[in-house]
Amino acid sequence: MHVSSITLSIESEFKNVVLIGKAINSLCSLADFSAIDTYQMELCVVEAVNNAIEHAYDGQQGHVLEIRFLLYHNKITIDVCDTGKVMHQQLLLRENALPTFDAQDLHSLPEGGWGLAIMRQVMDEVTYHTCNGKNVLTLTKRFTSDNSATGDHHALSAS
Amino acid sequence: MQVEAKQTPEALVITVMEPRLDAKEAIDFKTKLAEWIKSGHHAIVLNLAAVRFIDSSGLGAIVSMLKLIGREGDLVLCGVTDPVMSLFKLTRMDRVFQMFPSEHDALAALA
Repeated sequence: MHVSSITLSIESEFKNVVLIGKAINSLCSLADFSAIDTYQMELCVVEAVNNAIEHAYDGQQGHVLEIRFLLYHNKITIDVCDTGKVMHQQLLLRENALPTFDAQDLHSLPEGGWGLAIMRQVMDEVTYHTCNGKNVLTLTKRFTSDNSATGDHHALSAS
Repeated sequence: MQVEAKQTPEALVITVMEPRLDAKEAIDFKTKLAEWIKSGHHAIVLNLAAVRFIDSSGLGAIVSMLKLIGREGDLVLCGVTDPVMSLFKLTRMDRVFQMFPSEHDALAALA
Protein backbone atom coordinates (compact mmCIF):
# COMPACT_ATOMS: atom_id res chain seq x y z
CA MET A 1 0.00 0.00 0.00
CA HIS A 2 1.43 3.41 -0.90
CA VAL A 3 1.27 6.44 1.33
CA SER A 4 0.63 9.09 -1.31
CA SER A 5 0.89 9.57 -5.03
CA ILE A 6 0.83 12.23 -7.69
CA THR A 7 0.72 11.92 -11.46
CA LEU A 8 2.29 14.52 -13.72
CA SER A 9 2.15 14.71 -17.48
CA ILE A 10 4.02 16.69 -20.13
CA GLU A 11 4.13 16.89 -23.88
CA SER A 12 7.17 15.25 -25.46
CA GLU A 13 9.47 18.28 -25.76
CA PHE A 14 12.81 18.77 -24.05
CA LYS A 15 11.76 22.23 -22.90
CA ASN A 16 9.10 20.60 -20.71
CA VAL A 17 11.47 18.22 -18.91
CA VAL A 18 12.50 20.95 -16.46
CA LEU A 19 8.93 20.92 -15.10
CA ILE A 20 9.25 17.26 -14.19
CA GLY A 21 12.76 17.73 -12.82
CA LYS A 22 11.74 20.59 -10.55
CA ALA A 23 8.65 18.71 -9.35
CA ILE A 24 10.63 15.57 -8.51
CA ASN A 25 13.24 17.66 -6.72
CA SER A 26 10.53 19.22 -4.53
CA LEU A 27 8.75 15.93 -3.92
CA CYS A 28 12.01 14.35 -2.74
CA SER A 29 12.13 16.86 0.09
CA LEU A 30 9.42 14.71 1.68
CA ALA A 31 12.02 11.98 2.19
CA ASP A 32 14.81 13.85 3.96
CA PHE A 33 17.25 13.13 1.16
CA SER A 34 20.59 14.92 1.12
CA ALA A 35 21.20 17.56 -1.56
CA ILE A 36 23.23 15.03 -3.55
CA ASP A 37 20.58 12.29 -3.26
CA THR A 38 17.87 14.74 -4.32
CA TYR A 39 19.93 15.87 -7.31
CA GLN A 40 20.53 12.26 -8.33
CA MET A 41 16.83 11.38 -8.03
CA GLU A 42 15.99 14.35 -10.26
CA LEU A 43 18.79 13.36 -12.62
CA CYS A 44 17.47 9.80 -13.00
CA VAL A 45 13.95 10.94 -13.80
CA VAL A 46 15.21 13.58 -16.24
CA GLU A 47 17.35 10.91 -17.97
CA ALA A 48 14.37 8.56 -18.19
CA VAL A 49 12.12 11.28 -19.62
CA ASN A 50 14.81 12.42 -22.08
CA ASN A 51 15.25 8.80 -23.23
CA ALA A 52 11.53 8.41 -23.76
CA ILE A 53 11.34 11.60 -25.84
CA GLU A 54 14.42 10.68 -27.87
CA HIS A 55 13.89 6.95 -28.36
CA ALA A 56 10.24 6.08 -27.74
CA TYR A 57 8.95 9.14 -29.61
CA ASP A 58 11.96 9.69 -31.93
CA GLY A 59 12.23 13.27 -30.69
CA GLN A 60 8.78 14.11 -32.02
CA GLN A 61 6.57 16.62 -30.26
CA GLY A 62 2.89 16.14 -29.56
CA HIS A 63 3.03 12.92 -27.55
CA VAL A 64 2.26 12.55 -23.88
CA LEU A 65 4.57 11.37 -21.12
CA GLU A 66 3.14 10.48 -17.76
CA ILE A 67 5.21 10.42 -14.58
CA ARG A 68 3.75 8.78 -11.47
CA PHE A 69 5.41 9.51 -8.14
CA LEU A 70 4.50 7.14 -5.31
CA LEU A 71 5.66 7.67 -1.77
CA TYR A 72 5.61 4.59 0.45
CA HIS A 73 6.66 4.38 4.08
CA ASN A 74 9.94 2.70 3.08
CA LYS A 75 10.59 3.76 -0.53
CA ILE A 76 9.84 6.08 -3.42
CA THR A 77 8.74 4.66 -6.74
CA ILE A 78 8.61 6.71 -9.94
CA ASP A 79 7.02 5.39 -13.13
CA VAL A 80 7.89 7.05 -16.44
CA CYS A 81 5.23 6.03 -18.95
CA ASP A 82 5.08 6.49 -22.72
CA THR A 83 3.10 5.01 -25.58
CA GLY A 84 5.88 5.10 -28.16
CA LYS A 85 8.37 2.53 -29.42
CA VAL A 86 9.25 -0.27 -27.05
CA MET A 87 12.79 -0.14 -25.68
CA HIS A 88 14.78 -3.03 -27.07
CA GLN A 89 15.92 -5.60 -24.51
CA GLN A 90 19.44 -5.50 -25.92
CA LEU A 91 19.58 -1.74 -25.40
CA LEU A 92 18.51 -2.29 -21.81
CA LEU A 93 21.33 -4.78 -21.33
CA ARG A 94 23.96 -2.83 -23.27
CA GLU A 95 23.34 0.42 -21.42
CA ASN A 96 23.38 -1.37 -18.10
CA ALA A 97 27.08 -0.60 -17.86
CA LEU A 98 28.88 2.72 -18.20
CA PRO A 99 30.55 3.37 -21.56
CA THR A 100 34.19 2.39 -21.35
CA PHE A 101 37.00 4.83 -22.14
CA ASP A 102 40.66 5.57 -21.63
CA ALA A 103 41.03 8.87 -19.77
CA GLN A 104 44.29 9.54 -21.65
CA ASP A 105 42.71 9.04 -25.06
CA LEU A 106 40.35 11.91 -25.87
CA HIS A 107 38.89 10.10 -28.88
CA SER A 108 37.67 7.30 -26.63
CA LEU A 109 35.62 9.60 -24.39
CA PRO A 110 31.89 9.00 -24.63
CA GLU A 111 29.54 11.95 -25.23
CA GLY A 112 26.42 10.09 -24.15
CA GLY A 113 24.97 6.69 -23.41
CA TRP A 114 25.11 7.20 -19.64
CA GLY A 115 21.38 7.45 -18.89
CA LEU A 116 20.46 3.91 -17.94
CA ALA A 117 23.79 3.24 -16.24
CA ILE A 118 23.28 6.32 -14.06
CA MET A 119 19.78 5.11 -13.15
CA ARG A 120 21.11 1.69 -12.21
CA GLN A 121 23.84 3.16 -10.02
CA VAL A 122 21.58 5.58 -8.18
CA MET A 123 18.39 3.56 -7.83
CA ASP A 124 17.86 0.34 -5.90
CA GLU A 125 15.77 -1.07 -8.72
CA VAL A 126 15.13 -0.21 -12.37
CA THR A 127 12.52 -2.21 -14.26
CA TYR A 128 10.84 -1.84 -17.64
CA HIS A 129 7.69 -3.44 -18.93
CA THR A 130 5.07 -2.90 -21.60
CA CYS A 131 1.37 -3.47 -21.04
CA ASN A 132 -1.52 -2.60 -23.36
CA GLY A 133 0.65 -0.33 -25.49
CA LYS A 134 2.08 1.57 -22.53
CA ASN A 135 5.81 1.34 -21.74
CA VAL A 136 6.65 1.83 -18.09
CA LEU A 137 10.15 2.41 -16.70
CA THR A 138 9.99 2.09 -12.93
CA LEU A 139 12.64 3.62 -10.67
CA THR A 140 12.68 2.56 -7.02
CA LYS A 141 14.69 4.13 -4.21
CA ARG A 142 14.42 2.61 -0.76
CA PHE A 143 14.92 4.68 2.35
CA THR A 144 17.93 4.12 4.52
CA SER A 145 18.23 4.91 8.21
CA ASP A 146 19.34 8.40 7.12
CA ASN A 147 16.16 9.23 5.29
CA SER A 148 12.49 8.37 5.58
CA ALA A 149 9.14 9.71 4.51
CA THR A 150 8.30 12.84 6.44
CA GLY A 151 6.02 15.84 6.09
CA ASP A 152 2.38 16.36 5.32
CA HIS A 153 1.33 13.52 3.07
CA HIS A 154 -2.11 14.99 2.41
CA ALA A 155 -0.50 17.51 0.11
CA LEU A 156 0.43 14.69 -2.24
CA SER A 157 -2.92 12.98 -2.62
CA ALA A 158 -3.53 14.42 -6.04
CA SER A 159 -3.67 11.53 -8.46
CA MET B 1 21.66 29.78 -23.30
CA GLN B 2 23.24 32.67 -21.44
CA VAL B 3 27.00 32.60 -21.00
CA GLU B 4 29.51 35.34 -20.29
CA ALA B 5 33.06 35.37 -21.59
CA LYS B 6 36.05 37.39 -20.46
CA GLN B 7 39.60 37.20 -21.73
CA THR B 8 42.33 37.05 -19.12
CA PRO B 9 46.10 36.69 -19.72
CA GLU B 10 45.89 33.00 -18.76
CA ALA B 11 42.69 31.89 -20.47
CA LEU B 12 39.24 32.71 -21.77
CA VAL B 13 36.85 32.41 -18.84
CA ILE B 14 33.37 31.29 -19.84
CA THR B 15 30.76 31.57 -17.11
CA VAL B 16 27.48 29.73 -17.56
CA MET B 17 24.74 32.01 -16.27
CA GLU B 18 21.92 29.47 -16.48
CA PRO B 19 21.00 27.22 -13.55
CA ARG B 20 20.47 24.21 -15.83
CA LEU B 21 22.60 22.66 -18.53
CA ASP B 22 20.28 19.99 -19.87
CA ALA B 23 19.03 18.43 -23.11
CA LYS B 24 17.17 21.62 -24.00
CA GLU B 25 20.30 23.79 -23.66
CA ALA B 26 23.06 21.37 -24.66
CA ILE B 27 23.12 21.99 -28.42
CA ASP B 28 23.10 25.78 -28.07
CA PHE B 29 25.81 25.59 -25.41
CA LYS B 30 27.96 23.32 -27.55
CA THR B 31 27.58 25.59 -30.58
CA LYS B 32 28.62 28.69 -28.61
CA LEU B 33 31.69 27.05 -27.11
CA ALA B 34 32.70 25.53 -30.42
CA GLU B 35 32.69 29.02 -31.98
CA TRP B 36 35.13 30.28 -29.35
CA ILE B 37 37.41 27.28 -29.77
CA LYS B 38 37.36 27.50 -33.56
CA SER B 39 38.18 31.22 -33.35
CA GLY B 40 41.46 30.33 -31.65
CA HIS B 41 40.79 30.07 -27.91
CA HIS B 42 42.56 26.95 -26.73
CA ALA B 43 42.84 27.73 -23.03
CA ILE B 44 39.39 27.90 -21.49
CA VAL B 45 38.13 27.99 -17.91
CA LEU B 46 34.51 26.92 -17.71
CA ASN B 47 32.94 28.43 -14.61
CA LEU B 48 29.97 26.32 -13.50
CA ALA B 49 29.38 27.96 -10.12
CA ALA B 50 25.88 29.14 -11.09
CA VAL B 51 24.84 25.79 -12.54
CA ARG B 52 22.63 23.77 -10.22
CA PHE B 53 21.72 20.93 -12.58
CA ILE B 54 23.51 19.13 -15.41
CA ASP B 55 22.13 16.03 -17.12
CA SER B 56 24.00 13.62 -19.37
CA SER B 57 23.28 15.76 -22.46
CA GLY B 58 24.93 18.74 -20.78
CA LEU B 59 27.84 16.59 -19.70
CA GLY B 60 28.16 15.25 -23.25
CA ALA B 61 28.41 18.83 -24.54
CA ILE B 62 31.27 19.58 -22.11
CA VAL B 63 33.08 16.37 -23.12
CA SER B 64 32.74 17.24 -26.80
CA MET B 65 34.36 20.62 -26.09
CA LEU B 66 37.31 18.91 -24.43
CA LYS B 67 37.71 16.70 -27.48
CA LEU B 68 37.51 19.72 -29.78
CA ILE B 69 40.22 21.57 -27.86
CA GLY B 70 42.44 18.51 -27.85
CA ARG B 71 45.50 17.73 -25.76
CA GLU B 72 47.34 20.78 -27.09
CA GLY B 73 44.86 23.06 -25.33
CA ASP B 74 43.23 23.25 -21.92
CA LEU B 75 39.63 23.10 -20.83
CA VAL B 76 39.39 23.22 -17.07
CA LEU B 77 36.31 23.49 -14.86
CA CYS B 78 35.72 25.50 -11.73
CA GLY B 79 32.97 26.12 -9.19
CA VAL B 80 31.37 22.72 -9.65
CA THR B 81 28.82 22.21 -6.86
CA ASP B 82 28.79 18.98 -4.87
CA PRO B 83 25.57 17.64 -6.47
CA VAL B 84 26.85 18.35 -9.99
CA MET B 85 30.20 16.82 -9.06
CA SER B 86 28.29 13.62 -8.25
CA LEU B 87 27.32 13.38 -11.94
CA PHE B 88 31.00 13.57 -12.93
CA LYS B 89 31.74 10.82 -10.41
CA LEU B 90 28.81 8.63 -11.49
CA THR B 91 30.07 8.74 -15.08
CA ARG B 92 33.78 8.67 -14.08
CA MET B 93 34.32 11.96 -15.91
CA ASP B 94 35.93 13.28 -12.72
CA ARG B 95 38.98 11.30 -13.92
CA VAL B 96 39.06 13.21 -17.19
CA PHE B 97 38.58 16.87 -16.28
CA GLN B 98 40.82 19.15 -14.26
CA MET B 99 38.58 20.85 -11.71
CA PHE B 100 39.27 23.72 -9.33
CA PRO B 101 37.22 25.20 -6.49
CA SER B 102 37.37 28.75 -7.81
CA GLU B 103 38.09 30.73 -10.97
CA HIS B 104 41.14 32.18 -9.25
CA ASP B 105 42.53 28.67 -8.60
CA ALA B 106 41.84 27.59 -12.16
CA LEU B 107 43.61 30.61 -13.65
CA ALA B 108 46.55 30.15 -11.31
CA ALA B 109 46.93 26.56 -12.50
CA LEU B 110 46.99 27.67 -16.14
CA ALA B 111 49.47 30.52 -15.55
